[in-house]
Amino acid sequence: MTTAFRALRAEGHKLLTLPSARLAIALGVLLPAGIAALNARSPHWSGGVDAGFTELGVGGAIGAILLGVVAVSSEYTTEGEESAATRQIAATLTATPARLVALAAKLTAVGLLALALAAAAGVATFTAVHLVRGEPASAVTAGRVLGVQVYLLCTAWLALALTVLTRNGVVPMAVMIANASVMSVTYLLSKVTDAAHYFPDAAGPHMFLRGVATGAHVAPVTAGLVMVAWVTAVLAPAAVVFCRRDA
Amino acid sequence: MRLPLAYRAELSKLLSLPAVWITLAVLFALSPALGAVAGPRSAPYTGIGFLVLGVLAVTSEHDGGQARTTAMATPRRLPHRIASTAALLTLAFPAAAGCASATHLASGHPTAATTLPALTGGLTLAALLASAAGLLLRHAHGTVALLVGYFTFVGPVLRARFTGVADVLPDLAPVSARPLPVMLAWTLAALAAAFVTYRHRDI
Repeated sequence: MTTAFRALRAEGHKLLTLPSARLAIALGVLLPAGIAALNARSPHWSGGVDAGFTELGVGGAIGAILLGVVAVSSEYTTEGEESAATRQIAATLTATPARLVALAAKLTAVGLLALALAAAAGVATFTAVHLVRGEPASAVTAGRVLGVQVYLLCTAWLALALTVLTRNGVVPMAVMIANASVMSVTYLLSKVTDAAHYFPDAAGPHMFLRGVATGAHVAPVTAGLVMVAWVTAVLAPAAVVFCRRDA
Repeated sequence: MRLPLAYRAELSKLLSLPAVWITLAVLFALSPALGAVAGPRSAPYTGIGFLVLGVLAVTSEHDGGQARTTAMATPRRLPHRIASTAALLTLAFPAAAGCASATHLASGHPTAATTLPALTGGLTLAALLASAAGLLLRHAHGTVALLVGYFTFVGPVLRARFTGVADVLPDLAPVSARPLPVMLAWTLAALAAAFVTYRHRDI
């Protein structure tokens, strides 16, 4: 078993035993399904091509953000002076001294879990819409489902990279969750400058939403590339800082 | 007299937290900017900052062994909670008044004078409600995720779908004074629940 694979297994174990990571998965699956069921029950239900997808874009993203943030922030919280271990990061880097390997293992573990979360959230949400309406949600194509997967994966990685830079997750998380949901600062900014349409939370959902009321039209593939560009732009400095900084 | 001493200790702990100062600095920098862009509608964004403030004030006790030291110095739990809540109120109320004024000055909204007290009250209550939630959960990240997720996503959806519940659900930083009693009731209920849990809990 290679070092990289062992590091990945360790990161997976740590992540799955974190109570807040479990909360992230529960929120990411139950929120979109619950809200989609509520919306489908409403007499004002518009149906439309985005039924279920809108909820996945917000509720699923909340789970993905929490997952990405706690995967890193849990490494840096202190356990209290009377416990033997101080911060998890000390043990992590002792076990995996090659920092890029440690970071890559964490990215892979969070990525796999985010993909699983996206898949479970998708199944739960479209099943909820189907059960409430008695008919399947319209236009659930493989391309759009793939879009949800890529969006949640990139969102989780973006949250992870931001938290590597800040080492405390509270503020990045509050900003990212608020931004992903109904009250988006990006939406306010888009009234001032067109560049705001290319913020991750504004461009990313174009991978799977067809009837976005506001904003410029961004093609799904372009939206995906914009997300990848954002992840790269934040991850690159995060990796440099993580490799060079005293833990 | 124990209570003034406990209050002074709580205030000094609160004022020595770097995270609190960073949050306040970001709030004072962003709220006029958002006010200029979006007017009074930017109030809920400021409210998120106050949620973070309230959560940080309480969960910082549980990050490390501070909570045990506190319980050693103030063994009676009710006076400690009163002192702690009063200290947060001392910090949050002027900050809320400042942020609300800055938002309104920047937005140039004509009704600023009438909405200021409601907004100040709403922001202060948001911080207190968040501190109660933080004490219940003892975990900064989980609490912030739940609160921000509720106030920015679940709350607005419930409000839009069920017109009846809009009047009994807490709202973040309302611009009118009408929802304030509801927010106050939620805050008091959350503080009471947090106290009862804290009263019977091993630290």
